[in-house]
Amino acid sequence: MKRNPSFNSRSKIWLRAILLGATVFSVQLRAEDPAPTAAAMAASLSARLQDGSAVVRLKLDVRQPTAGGATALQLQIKSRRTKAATELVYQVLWPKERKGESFLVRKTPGNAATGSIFLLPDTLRPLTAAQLKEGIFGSDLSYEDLVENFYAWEHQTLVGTESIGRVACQILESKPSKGDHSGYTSVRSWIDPKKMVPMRIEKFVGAQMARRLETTRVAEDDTDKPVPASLSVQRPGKDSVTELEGSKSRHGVIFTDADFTPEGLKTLTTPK
Amino acid sequence: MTFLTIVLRSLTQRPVRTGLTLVGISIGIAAVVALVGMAWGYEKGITKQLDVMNIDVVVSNMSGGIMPKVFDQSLQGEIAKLPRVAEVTSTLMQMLSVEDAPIMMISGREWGGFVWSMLKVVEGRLPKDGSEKVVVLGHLAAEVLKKKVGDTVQIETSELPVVGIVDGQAMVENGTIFLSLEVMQEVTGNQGKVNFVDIRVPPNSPRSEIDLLCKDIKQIFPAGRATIAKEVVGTSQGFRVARAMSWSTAILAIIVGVLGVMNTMLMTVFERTNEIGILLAVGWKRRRIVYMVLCESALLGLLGGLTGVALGVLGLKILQTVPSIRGMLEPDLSPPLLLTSVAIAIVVGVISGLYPAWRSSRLSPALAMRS
Repeated sequence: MKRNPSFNSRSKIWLRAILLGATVFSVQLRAEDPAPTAAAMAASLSARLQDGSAVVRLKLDVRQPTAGGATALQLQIKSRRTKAATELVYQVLWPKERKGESFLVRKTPGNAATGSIFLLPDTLRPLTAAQLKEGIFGSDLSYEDLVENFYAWEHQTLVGTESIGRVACQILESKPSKGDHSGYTSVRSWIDPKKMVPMRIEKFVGAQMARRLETTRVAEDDTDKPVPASLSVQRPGKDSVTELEGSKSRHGVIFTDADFTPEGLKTLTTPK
Repeated sequence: MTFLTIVLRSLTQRPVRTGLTLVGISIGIAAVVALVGMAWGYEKGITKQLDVMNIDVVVSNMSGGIMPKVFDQSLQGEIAKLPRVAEVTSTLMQMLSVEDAPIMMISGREWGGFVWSMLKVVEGRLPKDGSEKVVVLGHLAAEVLKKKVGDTVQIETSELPVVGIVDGQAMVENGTIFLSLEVMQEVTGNQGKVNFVDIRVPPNSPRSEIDLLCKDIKQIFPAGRATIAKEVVGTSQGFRVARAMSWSTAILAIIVGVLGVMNTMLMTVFERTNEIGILLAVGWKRRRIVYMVLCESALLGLLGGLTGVALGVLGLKILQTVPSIRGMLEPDLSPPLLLTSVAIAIVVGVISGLYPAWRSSRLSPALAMRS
């Protein structure tokens, strides 16, 4: 098929113009959007995590496709996160037969995590170091995962960029020092720099990936801050998938110290 | 051979190519029907809900979140004192995942407030008073939760008996769990807090009076917003974003359709260079050649539009049966949307045919017959 030469040359001119425009536009975008340093990004993420007292409602689904099993739990989370300590209480609201089952986990900087668990009808016991590495309520997320703030670790490096979905993310690598008492040797986070939300987190033990957390939905919480509202957690080589679906959060809640004691686990109330 | 036969023959000569082009347009139009239908349906649902409750002005403190922020219930008393207010009531509404169900609307309504009177009891009863710790379920909510009168529903830490199933006369209402404001505040730990104040103005109040009322409310509640109920949908940022997102996705799908039709029509023109040359040689005017190509592309658009509308409607019907969506989706499949979608498809067809038509009209009969 013969092409019109004048049409071809016009096309080339247009194509060049479009490419030039796109290049200028992208250069301008980059110039307006300087990338933060690893330390600044980690500090910002760490500060966002330390959001004081809050109560969160969450649905936790654990699916084991091969075994054909599935567990759904409605949870109430009481959290107190400051620079000095992270304290979390997870309590089962539903199903009825597990209502009241709960655990407490606490971590202070420079110390290993500690915790207690309350099982129905009336068993209250501390969680051992080994148990803290196990999954909460039979899920793929461990107790230590909940309290560990790897953005506060000393070693933070930006190791690249990658798009997750349509979000251009910065990859932040965090490595613990001895005093951080982590079970992981490194954690990689794919951060949406605009919203400062991790879209993916991969946790490594040596060169082996131990857990991958994917943010499946980002929403604004009650303080208008973008947060991962839905997460999916998987362990390579394991059959199960854990999904967490947040439906409500309320900050500035008044807790008493008793709320974050092993005895406090026996009481299931809605914080005011 | 008539003009129409020539148009039809060119499309049927390459059935696979025509079929694939139709699939392209159909998917685009199905996306228009599905996405815009869902957005319009949701808007209509909210408008109908406010209509059913006969609310004239809604006061809330809408932020970026999914539900408005809570504020002090005492605002209701201050609003009640304002001139031009006939009735006023408060609501605390939350979206929560309940038991095994996905996120649902839970509405705590001031006992005795006019919004209760719009609920028609289908089974059981309404709460006896504002302090009775019970819930009533919209009939879709009862279906989603698989509950009947006498069962209990777990909201936060409280197990509340279901005493009634109601028809809320609007999709959003039917998918809601209702309880008294007092009980809602207690079970959610929001004592003394609400996130909506609903107002009725005296009947036949002119628009200027309602505007003045909204200004008065803004003065006593600067952080919030008083919106005329009929304009809630139009002024809501969330609805605007949903509308923009659905249209932009649909437009992307349409662009793909345009490129598909344009490609097909260009190929058709190139392949039929000889035939077009003969038509020009036997006296067809260039305008008629342009008209022929445009008719072909418009016909492709029409067929793709009709198939797309059918696909879109079918897709939405299937979506409505998905357990996690059932009761939350009431798409608008009214004739205006369906006709608009078909019209878009025809316009897409015509636009896609413009360039090929222009190319065909520029052919020289002698050169075309030689090629």
